[in-house]
Amino acid sequence: MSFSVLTRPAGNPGTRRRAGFSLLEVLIAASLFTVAAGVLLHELAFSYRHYSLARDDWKAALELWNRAGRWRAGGTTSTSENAQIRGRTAPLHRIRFETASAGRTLTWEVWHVHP
Amino acid sequence: MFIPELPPCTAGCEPSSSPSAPGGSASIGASLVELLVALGLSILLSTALLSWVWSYQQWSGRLSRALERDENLRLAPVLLAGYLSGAGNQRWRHGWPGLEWTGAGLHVQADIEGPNGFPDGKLEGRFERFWLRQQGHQFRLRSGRGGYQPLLTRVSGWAIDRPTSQLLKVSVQGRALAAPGQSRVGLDESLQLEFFLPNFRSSLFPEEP
Repeated sequence: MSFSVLTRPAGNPGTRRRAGFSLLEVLIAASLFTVAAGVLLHELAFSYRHYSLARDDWKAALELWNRAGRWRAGGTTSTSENAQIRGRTAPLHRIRFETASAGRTLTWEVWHVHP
Repeated sequence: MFIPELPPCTAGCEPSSSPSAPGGSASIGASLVELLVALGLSILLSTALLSWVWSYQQWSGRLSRALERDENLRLAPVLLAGYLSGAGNQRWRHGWPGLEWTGAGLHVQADIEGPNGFPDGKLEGRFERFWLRQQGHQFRLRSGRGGYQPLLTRVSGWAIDRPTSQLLKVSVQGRALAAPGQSRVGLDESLQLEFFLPNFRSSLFPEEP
């Protein structure tokens, strides 16, 4: 009787098939599982990367938020620009705050009336 | 009684693995060595598979809990700025301070509305007088005579600092849920928020002499 490791043993014509899987079936199943596991791991790494980027951006925005609050509470500074829109009574000041996030620069322009 | 007749046996219907006489062909089943090898391979493959599934679940669980924690924390600056920006409005007409930190919570007063749409000198409108405090893992707000309502969740602590009259620093500690037996490293997050209080400037009306 001929026997191949790559195909299911057929046995004699008319006999019932042997139980179990052939090597080829096992290899195909293992390959499919490996591909599916790789895709899942890749998606998880992708999710983490996006989460890290969003988290860095959020932290950078919070830093700018706090700097803007400190600037507005602390009065005019030498780095601000007097926009002179409302004349002498209530000068309008403008300032730019910048911070780096994930290799990019986040810029906020803040306007404020300082009495 | 009817007894069905069995089909005639052909040449191939004989059991191919039937026990043969000593010195004949293969016997039924696997040998002990084959069984041990199969068991060893099964244990190895199962261990590898289970460890992969376990680590995948750990990582995806941590990501899920961190996202849930951050979803709550990201609301903090927006919500708090909305509630705190009017603090102290019209306080120069009255005797209340506008902001009071009692240790148990923050008491905020702001005369921001009235029957005609303008401040009326009373703190009876919605969110004209409210308290903020932490209860358990929740950040809660109580307005007027109402009860405390949840504002943020997954909060393990908070603190207030007021370096100047116009600047309020709020520190919020966020805490994510952790699975049993899981390390909490990296699951807690602390925020430092600084709010400008426009109603506490030295001169609210610079146009007036």
